[in-house]
Amino acid sequence: MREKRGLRKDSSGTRLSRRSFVKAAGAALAVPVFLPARALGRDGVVWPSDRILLGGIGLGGRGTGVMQWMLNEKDVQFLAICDVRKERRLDIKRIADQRHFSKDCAMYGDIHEFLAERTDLDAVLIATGDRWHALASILAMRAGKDVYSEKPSSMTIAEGRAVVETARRYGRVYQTGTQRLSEPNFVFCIEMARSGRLGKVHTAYAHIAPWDAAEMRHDWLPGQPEPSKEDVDWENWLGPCPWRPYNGEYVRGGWRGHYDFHTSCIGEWGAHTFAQAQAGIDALDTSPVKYQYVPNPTGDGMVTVFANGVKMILSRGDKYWRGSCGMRFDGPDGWVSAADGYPQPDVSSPDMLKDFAKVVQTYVARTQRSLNHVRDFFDCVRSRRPTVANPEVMHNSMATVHAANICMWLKRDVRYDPVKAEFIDDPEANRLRSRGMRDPWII
Amino acid sequence: MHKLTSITILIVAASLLCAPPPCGWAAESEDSLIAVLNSGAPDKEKADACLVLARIGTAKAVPALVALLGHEKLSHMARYALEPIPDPAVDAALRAALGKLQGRALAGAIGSLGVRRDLSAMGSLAGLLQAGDPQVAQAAARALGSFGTQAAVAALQDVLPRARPENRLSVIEGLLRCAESMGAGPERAGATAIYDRLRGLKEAPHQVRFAAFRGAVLARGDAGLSVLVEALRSRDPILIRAAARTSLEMRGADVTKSLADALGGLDEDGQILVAEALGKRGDVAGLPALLALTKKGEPIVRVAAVRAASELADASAVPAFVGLLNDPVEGVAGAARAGLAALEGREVDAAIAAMLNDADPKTRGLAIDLIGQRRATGSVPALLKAAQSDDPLVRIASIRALGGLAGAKEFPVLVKLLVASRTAADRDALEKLLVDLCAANSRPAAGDVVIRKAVYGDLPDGKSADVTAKVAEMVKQGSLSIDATNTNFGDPAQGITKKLLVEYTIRGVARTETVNEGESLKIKGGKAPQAFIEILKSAATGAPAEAKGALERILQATTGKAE
Repeated sequence: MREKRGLRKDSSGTRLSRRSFVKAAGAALAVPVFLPARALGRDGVVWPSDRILLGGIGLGGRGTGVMQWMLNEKDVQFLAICDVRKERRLDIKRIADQRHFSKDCAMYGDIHEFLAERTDLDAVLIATGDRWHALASILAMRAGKDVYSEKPSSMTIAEGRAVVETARRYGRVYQTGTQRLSEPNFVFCIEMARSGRLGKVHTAYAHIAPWDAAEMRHDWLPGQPEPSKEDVDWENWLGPCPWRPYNGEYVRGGWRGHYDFHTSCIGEWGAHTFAQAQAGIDALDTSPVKYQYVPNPTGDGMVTVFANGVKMILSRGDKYWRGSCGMRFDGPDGWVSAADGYPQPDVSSPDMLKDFAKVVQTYVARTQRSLNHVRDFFDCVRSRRPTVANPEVMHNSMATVHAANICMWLKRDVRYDPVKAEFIDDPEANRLRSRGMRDPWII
Repeated sequence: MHKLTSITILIVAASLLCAPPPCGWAAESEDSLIAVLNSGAPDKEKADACLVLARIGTAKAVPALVALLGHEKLSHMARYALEPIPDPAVDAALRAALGKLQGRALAGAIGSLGVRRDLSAMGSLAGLLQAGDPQVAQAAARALGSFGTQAAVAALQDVLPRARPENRLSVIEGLLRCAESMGAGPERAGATAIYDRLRGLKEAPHQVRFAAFRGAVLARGDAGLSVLVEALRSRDPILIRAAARTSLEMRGADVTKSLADALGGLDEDGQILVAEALGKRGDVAGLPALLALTKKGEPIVRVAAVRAASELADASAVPAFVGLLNDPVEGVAGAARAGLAALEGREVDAAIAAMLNDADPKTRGLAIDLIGQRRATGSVPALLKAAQSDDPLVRIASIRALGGLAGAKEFPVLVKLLVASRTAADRDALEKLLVDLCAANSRPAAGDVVIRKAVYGDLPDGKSADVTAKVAEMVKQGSLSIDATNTNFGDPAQGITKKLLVEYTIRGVARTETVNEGESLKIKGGKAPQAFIEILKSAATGAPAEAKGALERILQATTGKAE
């Protein structure tokens, strides 16, 4: 199934020479900088293409949306889909082939075969559902792929750490799908908090999802006859998770809320909002040290405390915002808040918004990042620099998710040492830092 | 992220309420859980017992769990429970099981021994490195990697040349894991030797070449710099890429210098990679080399150099950036503009203000744009001067740039500029600026405010209190800043962060404001300061007809009536 190598065509069928593309990009200020693909060094072979060759793993509704977002980038070509569901494979192939005016998109049902065979791919988009995100990322990075993984990107603290180690070991570029880290309203709030414009921020608020609960289901749905492996490969769908009988509801999204597959309402949006909040209080290299249990089913109102005393409070409702994935920073000199759908951030003083453009612009100059999350990923694929939501950012914010979940599951306060990555004087909590993975899906 | 409609949320919420209660997580005694495992209970009940034993199990549960290691459906759950139990009995049991298990179950047991770092399993795992079943051999290689011992290294190195192709990457993974754990300790030389051996592999895939190179550089400490420099001179794109990436993990001026020195010898691909690395490193010692790179060569490289120099955020880049503003390559000029707009510091403000005196109107226009973007209040005098320029475009751009920067202090000067305005466009721009300035400085008189409704509580639908009378009284007493606190309004919704909502009118104009508990609600709107009104009235007297009309419109806008 490997493709012939040679000059690729763009979507209009025109052959693109590397050099002409480089010159055109420079002349037109195509931000970002396009690095000729030669430097991507596919297995040491000079590859006369200007495209980033992309594959997908487990693309359902959300994954399809991200894929289409990625296909807006003119330097990206989607060449192969790996999915345990035939229906999804066919859907993705149709979309990719329509986009590229070709019939090139290859289909795979097994991730090991996919990764072993497609040595031509530079990067993969992973959107399998929580249970597979970390494992698929690790396998792909070991195979030399750069990875864009949807969130929540790990099921346990140990999985997150393994993603960090693998990316570092093989020099892979990795971005988790916390796209608000690249959106102007959120960037503004984060920069206002980071820069001291609010004074020393004492409290951050982070939104958790208004559906599902922190308490998870442990029951099995009633068993149903397994479809053919070609239609739904149930063994591979389960992957590293404990076996249970097939039920079609799981593969249609009903896996949410189940302990084996999901990171709860806290992980659902906390994967986004904890990263956002931790960015604003300069805590992306750590996690809170205290988690205060709240006697409700969701974790709403849980107070977490960082080592420097700054609080991050989990909030499920709309006390602090009017949209999804909200966040807020409070300091002695004011507050800022943003959520999806805001025309502009909420601020304690209108004067703050006068500097909106400048604050965002300064962020872009300081970081040279695109305010487009997938573009940031592709830029970093070329430049080999860390993405805005790199493995460490993912792991430290997801460690917060996991610790908060463990606090809720144990129904008591827990203390955590982010340096040692262990709970303090708490063997029971420490046992929940990892889960034995089902063979042969072991890291 | 999943954007759900309210209907979907309702459906999901309803299904949540109807879902069966959580089970399998209950705090049962270890004895009762062991009894379930030893009984003829259904698989589901045994799986649930394993789930809880993973959290609370002790050596007592090991025999019952080990008995399930060969079970087709429950083998994994047995390991799931065994893996976190901190008792050596688990290691002994897993080791003993190695000789009895096959296939996936064997691979799983090997994986668990790796997670537990059971060094006593060294010999057994080494013997499995050449197992006929690839998943067993691969699991053994990775588990030995987790051990990170000399013996593990020896076993993995021994098998590497003979490893079957499908197992080779797992053996390399094992060696890399060993090297990482050795590299952090006194066995650094051993780690270096592993990396060097992997560097010498023929036909290794690019990610292995990267890993070996990175490790070889970092494990050598300061001496790794020479390996980095060698790679930068190699013309090997994989090594140059690896060098650029690895340099981000290295500190020191000598690393920056080596990258900067290498720039001239690289092709454009390498120059871009290294320029980006220099920017990301944040060491201003790299700035001269980057600025040199901005001046000539391929446009794409020059753009990368400007952007990397911007990242260093150092004011000494300003003259070079100013020199690039009119560069014929739009990409380069645009990157320089973006860099100047974001750079902080008085030197930058001064350099841009100086551009306002440039003979070239294009440069003056650029300066005004930059000042507007930078929102540098120190540039207001220069903008006021530019607003009187003979160049109409410069005048208009300056007036617009003053929006948001000018304050009460500039109000009289701006009124004078309007009176003396030369064109309708000047007048329109100044009129808008003065209206905005009046609005920004307006403060209502308490007597103009009528409080229609005030509510404090868990808004919009929770418990709340009508505090209309209280707020009205506070405003009557002259307060136009109302603190939303329990001290003022009591606590109608304990434990909830409340909101204060106030509906009011100012001379008939309705407004609504809401703030959270702990914040101050500001009553906004109203007339401009009396001093502004006097200045406007005075200027209108004797002003040319067009300017007088504009001044009267400003007065009307800010007072709500014709003065």
